[in-house]
Amino acid sequence: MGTPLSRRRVLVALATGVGAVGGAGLLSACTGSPGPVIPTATPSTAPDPLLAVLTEREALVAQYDLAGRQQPDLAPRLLPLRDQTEEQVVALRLALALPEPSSEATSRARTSSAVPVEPPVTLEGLRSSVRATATSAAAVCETTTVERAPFVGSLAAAASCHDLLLR
Amino acid sequence: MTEVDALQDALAGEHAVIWGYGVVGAEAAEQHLPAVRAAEQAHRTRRDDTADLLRSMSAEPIESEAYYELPFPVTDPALAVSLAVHLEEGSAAAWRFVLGQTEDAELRRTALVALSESALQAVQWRLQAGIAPATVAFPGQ
Repeated sequence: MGTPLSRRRVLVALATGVGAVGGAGLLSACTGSPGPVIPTATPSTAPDPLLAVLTEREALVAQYDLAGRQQPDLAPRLLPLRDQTEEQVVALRLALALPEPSSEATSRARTSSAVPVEPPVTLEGLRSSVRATATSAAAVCETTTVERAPFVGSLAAAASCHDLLLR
Repeated sequence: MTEVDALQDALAGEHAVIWGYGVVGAEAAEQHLPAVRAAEQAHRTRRDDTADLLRSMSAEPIESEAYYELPFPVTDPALAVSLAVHLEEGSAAAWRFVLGQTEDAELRRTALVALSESALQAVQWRLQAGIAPATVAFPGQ
């Protein structure tokens, strides 16, 4: 951590996202905007707890897609949440040092999820899934490494915010 | 940086946010005043809790400054809401930072609650300001 900001400057720092806050500013300098700071995976024999966080959010993106197809009138409300969840999926794959899914695989997944009987997706069902992602990310946040904790905590907070907008 | 340093920074942020909400309240539209008061009170509670936590760690909590520089002039109700958004985003960033400065699960829970509450309040202010989307992918980032 560099020289602390003068306290009088804190309000400016808060407003611009730098400062003590300074630590966050230093960390965010390591990545391009608007992507997150993502510590990558370390080799281990145990399953990485972040994998479960990733799987949940991948399923959530599919659920948003399904909801959008079934209820197009909800699409404007759901699309920003869906897109932000997809951003999180990309960041989680990066954190886990996983390759990006090929466009062919993505296309196959979309096609297969479009046939033949789709379970109905309700707003309440989406909320329930979103709340589950908040809970699991919060649990991982408590025990993960110091490098990952801010990232995972941010994912938990984001899910709480999405839950609010689905009410 | 130690977890005490990070908490002192977060406390400094809470002092600044409380001061900033005074400016927000001075310019906010009448219908927003109850929300401004509630948000300010939430930060006062968090400030007091953080100060207590620091004392329990044998640290002397830092004091508030008498005056802070605003990031932009706040001269009307719309700018007041914009300032409120910035204050909550900054608070979220400070508490997100605390998460990476400790391995203590209880302190992480405390920091995550604070991060989440500020992120949620930022959403409420973005909705009031008509900012879309009202959420961000990585609160506090």
